[in-house]
Amino acid sequence: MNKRKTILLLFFILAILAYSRSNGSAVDAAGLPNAQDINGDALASIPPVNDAIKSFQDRIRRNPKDAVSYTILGDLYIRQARETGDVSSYQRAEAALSQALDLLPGYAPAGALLASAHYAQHNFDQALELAERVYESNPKTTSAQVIIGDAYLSLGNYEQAETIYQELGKTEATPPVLARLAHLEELKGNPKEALHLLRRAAGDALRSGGTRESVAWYLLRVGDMYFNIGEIKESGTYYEASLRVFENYHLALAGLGKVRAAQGKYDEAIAYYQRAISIVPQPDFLAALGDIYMLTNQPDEAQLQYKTVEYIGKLAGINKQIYNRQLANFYSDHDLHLKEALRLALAELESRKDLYGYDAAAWAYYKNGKFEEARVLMDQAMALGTRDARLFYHAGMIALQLGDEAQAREYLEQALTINPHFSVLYADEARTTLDTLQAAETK
Amino acid sequence: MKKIHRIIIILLTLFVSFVFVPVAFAHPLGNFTINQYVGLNVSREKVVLDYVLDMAEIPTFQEIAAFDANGNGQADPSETAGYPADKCNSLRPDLRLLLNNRPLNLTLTTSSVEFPAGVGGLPTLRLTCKFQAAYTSEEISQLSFSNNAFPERLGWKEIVVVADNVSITGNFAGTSLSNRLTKYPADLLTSPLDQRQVEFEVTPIALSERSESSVVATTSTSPLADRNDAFTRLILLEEITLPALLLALAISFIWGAMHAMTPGHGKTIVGAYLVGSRGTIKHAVYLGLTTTITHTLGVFALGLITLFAAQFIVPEKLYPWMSLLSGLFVLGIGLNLFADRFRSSGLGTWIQAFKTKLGRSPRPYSLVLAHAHSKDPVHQHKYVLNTSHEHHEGHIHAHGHEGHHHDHTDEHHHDHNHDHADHSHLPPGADGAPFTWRSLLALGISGGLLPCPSALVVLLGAIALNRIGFGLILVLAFSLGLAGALTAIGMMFIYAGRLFERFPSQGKIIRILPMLSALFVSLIGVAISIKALSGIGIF
Repeated sequence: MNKRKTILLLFFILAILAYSRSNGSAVDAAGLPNAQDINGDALASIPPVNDAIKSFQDRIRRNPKDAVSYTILGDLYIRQARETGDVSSYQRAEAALSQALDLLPGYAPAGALLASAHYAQHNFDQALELAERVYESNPKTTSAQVIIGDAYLSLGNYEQAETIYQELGKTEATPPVLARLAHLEELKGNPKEALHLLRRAAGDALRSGGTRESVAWYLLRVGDMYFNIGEIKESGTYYEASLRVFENYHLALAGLGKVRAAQGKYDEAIAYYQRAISIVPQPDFLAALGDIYMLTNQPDEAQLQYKTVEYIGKLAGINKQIYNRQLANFYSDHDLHLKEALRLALAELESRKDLYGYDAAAWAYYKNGKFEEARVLMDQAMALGTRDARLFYHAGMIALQLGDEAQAREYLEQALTINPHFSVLYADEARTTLDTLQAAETK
Repeated sequence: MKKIHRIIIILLTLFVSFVFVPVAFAHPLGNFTINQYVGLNVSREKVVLDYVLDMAEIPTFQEIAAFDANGNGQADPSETAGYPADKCNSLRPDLRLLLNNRPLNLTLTTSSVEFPAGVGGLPTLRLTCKFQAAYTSEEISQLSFSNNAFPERLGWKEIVVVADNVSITGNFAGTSLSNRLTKYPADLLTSPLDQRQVEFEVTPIALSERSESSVVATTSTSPLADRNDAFTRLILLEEITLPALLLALAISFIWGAMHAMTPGHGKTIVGAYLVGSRGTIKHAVYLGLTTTITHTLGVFALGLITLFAAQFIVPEKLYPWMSLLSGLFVLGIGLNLFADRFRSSGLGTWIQAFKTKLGRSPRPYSLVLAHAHSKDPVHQHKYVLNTSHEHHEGHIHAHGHEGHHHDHTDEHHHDHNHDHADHSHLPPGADGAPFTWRSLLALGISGGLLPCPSALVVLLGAIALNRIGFGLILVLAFSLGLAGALTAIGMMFIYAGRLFERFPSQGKIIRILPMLSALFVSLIGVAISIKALSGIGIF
């Protein structure tokens, strides 16, 4: 009897082990994900966001004073916004969370979520102020601490952001914290470390079973990083994994569009971008699709996309939405409304002094023919040592206009070494410029 | 009186429309949404399909750009002439209507397009298509419809089914929540509809029954329909000025007084008690004050429970229990009074003799003042914190043991004190019945124990609006009104009782009146308890 029990128990343990192994093959022994084996089947249990929203709406209808349900509803609206790319869900989240805070003033979880909704809508100052208030009154709210770090980072206070992230990393190295440490490494020009941290975050998220969207987001970010260091194929595998985990993920579709364009498979790239746009017409997707149309000699189609981007810009002006920097870069890249581009970029830099803000303003100055101003700002953009091909390309072109050919050559070489496919529009131009510079030197 | 009620409700409804609907969108979601409505009108021989497409600004721009021949970015009449029919026909394959699993052919009857101004005057697009499908209905037909247009784009997707001289059964909505995409509910508690398919059975109604054409089992429950918020939005002045404040206080006071007139706040008990015990005006006022304080505290306590423990306790479920407590209180008072009066009326002397035999000696007076202090929860708190010197702080405890370990509720504290306080330091009533402050206190508590729901809502509303101070004052005014009315009733009874005494012939009645009143109080206590128990579901 006892023997039989022992055998049964052993068998049971073996079954569990076998089960966990079959599930865990998406993550290797070191906890890093194997992109090819990821399908997210283990994540199926979390209900779709819309169902969850409905059930909490019901709860609130039954008890309109339920601050906790309002908080969860706000959280779900934030999740919905992330999943669908629909910014207006953030406004719903803000309304629900404000309601929760009205019912239960000082309720830390609601405060931290409200701060993150502010942050997502690029109200960084507001997010920072609220998150700090929440954190002061309730120092256990690490989510508020994360937002404080994020806001500092977005506002360009890298040192403060780093202090906070590292403090968080010591006590709880959860995927969200790891992803932020990775981003910091990326900005500081350590792509290898960044990639390792981020893959760890993705592996942890996959094993601990977050929502499909959150796991897909980590995989997407790994794909982005691989792309940025020129490993296009690896990048594609991660984008595909991301799309398998979260079906119709607009960001992963656009990522695959970018990968296919870099691989010269323009038809596939166009199809991916069109799918992404049919879900949510984000200006950067439309612009990228337009660029591919240009590259493949379909100027009418390209113009249609470009015009839609401008139209969204017009709406964004009315709605005060979050696309200012994207628009400034779009205008500069496409030699459209260059004065407006500069105005947008400088206005954005006023409130947000991070390195990509300096880059956008420098690039707009360059396009407006003000190279000296461009160089000053570009130096600021590169102060952290970020290894981003686009930054080096911009710096190289500015140096060239200022007559510093050696410097220009070095920058352009760097850009193409980091990622030869950094831009559909400008990678070729970088190459030809570099060729002429090298030819001129050998003469 | 009713009018005031109504005015307040109107005020609150206004307030709600400000607070509860903070974001109003032209479209239920962002400005890139594509929204669709399908209305199916099912009659005996045909199905009419009313399709409305409402595009927000960005898709409208893309749509216009596609047919903008002169490139001015506008939808000119010359350009849109053929557009609606073309667009409707291009959408037709995505609208699939099946009769007993066989597709029905839809033909376009009318179509039109408009470009209503959206955000910043930018155009949106509203296309209307009317399709028709003829069919020959059998005994029972199975109809199904699915909308596969713009499958991935976010948007409001609604399907409504209406029966015309047929009977239909199935799971569908019978009315449009968005009024055919003209008014999108913008509150937080309504999610955009995502209805892409519907299935139902159609049964023709015999000619004789035609007039009673019916829709069976329409399970369309509008999420907005079951809102019952008449009271959830109390108190709200736009600005608190002095006159407005005074008015609000007056209204609260009157409302409280009105509330005292509704059944359940122990007017009769108060009356019976005061008459029976020959109370004075002073007693009536004391009673009123006790009720005010208890009611105010009760509202705060229940408010706190609602705020912090709403997930665990539903306040509505708490109510019967509280009224049971109230009933038991009253019963206790009644029995106690009866016993006392029975004893003092001479019939009960043996009880006293029995008691002395047991060696129960009279105890010193309990200090009413000390009780009054321990009623204050804040004070009580301090008390608990300063455990080391509380005994020297000038508070005399009726019992010295373990005073500093008490961090229970005030209620408990009271009982604790009173259980040991047998004797009153008040002069006995004229008829010899001991008129004890403690039973008066208990009576006052029982009158105020059950918080009035409207007062509770006022408080919660105040908290929600972050106007806690204002809410407290209003609740206090409300409680004062309540107590004032009770006091007034008590006084009436007192005067009426004195009137009685003028008739000497009534002497006998007056002698047994105290006992009768005590019995009466007990009976009321029993009645309240039984009612509460039935509310709980035990009876």
